[in-house]
Amino acid sequence: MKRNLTLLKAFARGLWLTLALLIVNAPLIIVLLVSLSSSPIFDLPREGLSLRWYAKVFQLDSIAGPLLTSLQLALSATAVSLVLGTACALGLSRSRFPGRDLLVTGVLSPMMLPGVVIGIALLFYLRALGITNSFLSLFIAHVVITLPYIVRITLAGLSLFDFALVDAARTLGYPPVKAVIKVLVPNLAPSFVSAAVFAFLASFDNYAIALFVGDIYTVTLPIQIINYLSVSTDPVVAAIAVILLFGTLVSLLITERLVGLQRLAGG
Amino acid sequence: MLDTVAKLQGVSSIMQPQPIDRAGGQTSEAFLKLEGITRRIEQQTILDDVSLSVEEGQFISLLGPSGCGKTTLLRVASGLAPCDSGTVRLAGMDITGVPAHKRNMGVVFQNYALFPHLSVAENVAFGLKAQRRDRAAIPSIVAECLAMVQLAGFGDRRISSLSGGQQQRVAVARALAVRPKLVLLDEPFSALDRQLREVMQIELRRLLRSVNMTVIFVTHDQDEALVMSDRIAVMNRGRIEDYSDPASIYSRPKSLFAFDFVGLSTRMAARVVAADGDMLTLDTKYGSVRAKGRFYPGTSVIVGVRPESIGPAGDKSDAAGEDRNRLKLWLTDIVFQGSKRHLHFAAQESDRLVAEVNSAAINMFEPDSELSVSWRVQDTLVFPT
Repeated sequence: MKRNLTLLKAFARGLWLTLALLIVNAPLIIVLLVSLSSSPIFDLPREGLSLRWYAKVFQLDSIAGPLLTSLQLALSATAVSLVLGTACALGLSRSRFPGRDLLVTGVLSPMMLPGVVIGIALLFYLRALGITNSFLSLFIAHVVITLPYIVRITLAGLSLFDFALVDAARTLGYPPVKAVIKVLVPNLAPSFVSAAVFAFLASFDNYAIALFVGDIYTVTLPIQIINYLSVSTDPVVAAIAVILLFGTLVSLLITERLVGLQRLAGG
Repeated sequence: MLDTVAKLQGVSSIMQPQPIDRAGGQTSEAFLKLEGITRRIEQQTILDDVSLSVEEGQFISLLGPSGCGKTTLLRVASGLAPCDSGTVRLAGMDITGVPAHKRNMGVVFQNYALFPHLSVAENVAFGLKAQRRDRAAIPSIVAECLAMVQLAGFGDRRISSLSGGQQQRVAVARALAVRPKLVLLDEPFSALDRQLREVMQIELRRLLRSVNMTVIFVTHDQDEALVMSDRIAVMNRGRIEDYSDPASIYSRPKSLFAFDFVGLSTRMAARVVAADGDMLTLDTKYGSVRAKGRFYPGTSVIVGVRPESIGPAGDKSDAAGEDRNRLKLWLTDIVFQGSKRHLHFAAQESDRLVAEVNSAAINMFEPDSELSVSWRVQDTLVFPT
């Protein structure tokens, strides 16, 4: 009797978990199914399965350019944010001064503010500065939105870092800057990796800001996908979405292998 | 406590500092000399004109409560912290402005500060690589250092897989590997449990003496300082209040702070009623006592006596012919301390009355009764309030 009850409980728990996972991932599953449909309209596969939309993605000229732009933006913005954000986090974690908390909130705010707000603000601000090059504008905008991820995750990493290690490296013969590089960088590597992954993803799929700051000559991938949807109804977009989804999954898996997912999520 | 001191007296006679004769029979200066070190952080004076001389091969403790400046003094000596004024001299050279990485001092940090991303051997090799030693020679030096701290064969282990005691040994090996001129220990035992701490104290002292290392050891634990040191500097509020060998610090402390900090003891507020040469007659709330010292009659003072100096009147140590103080006190508590017991007596205001007796003699006493106690006049300490 008791054994049956335990079994029943386990069964109920499993059912509940499966249902929850299904509901959460339903949109992704639908997109996957749509991308495999042989029908020329955006619909679930009713007539049969096909990979033709994947083939078409690679034949479309209008995708390669924006994809390259997005990759360039995400990589350069992440690299610059990583340097600026680490310096910022080091300063914030090592000092106490009036207005420090305000500064932290300010640096992290792009993560909380709606993209539209940042987009409009940057549009006016960059115009006032006289910056007309749209790639440069997009790059600055993407540094602004990726910086909070770097600062937040690096700050969390630094809070667990024992700065006596740097002192130890100094007494053992390394000058201050070299001591920091020798000790802090390898110990914070997991934080850097997870910060960079999040920053990259935040930049790569940003839509709202690129809508305001970009122009018709500099188009990022998310913008191009929307543009494509407005002129065509075939499931190519679904195929692109699935490719991006797998790209993200692979990068998350590699990061998980390197640093562990708990650290990735918790910083 | 008394045991510790007795052991140390035996040891310290062998370990008496030998003045070192440097080139051409010049007047030898102390190996490490801190002079007039002052350090202020914002409005606070952390170190207030501190001077300290350490002879080569000596083991010195900086003993004091937290916030007394002992760790800051250690950091100034190691070059990790600057000082606002004063000089640091090592082996006759002024190193005040020399940065930490050029001082070649081995530091063992409070939580060891071992590098978690490196193996045990890589930790020990860290300083050797910084010194650009011959790469081929490093493994054998590392093995030698690990063997010295009884960790031979642990080289490939991760730091996180070691126990607290093993981590401390790695920290010591790492500090000694670079052949430092001076070893600085910042509360290295505070993370260990009591039993292990006592073993490690003896072991570390033996190791550091065997390599004839000059050591400065920071601690807030008076027992630790008494066990380990050739000399103890008792620090309080950014100053060194007393600097002497453990036996003298214990039996003849120079300040009330040093007396109070090293050991739980009897202390009574008193007033000098007569001074005949250096023999004082003092009035306490429990009766009149005599002590040696130089104070004007009428001065308020604190009378201090170590608990083991006090015994019940009439016992074996209370021999006739000795000049003794005698008081009748009200016994309130008997506290078990292993081989000893502490007798606590009813005391007024901030006074404290404690005597230490052998556990074997315990049946002689009954709590909540009057007891006559006595101690030698020469064991009576007098401090200004």
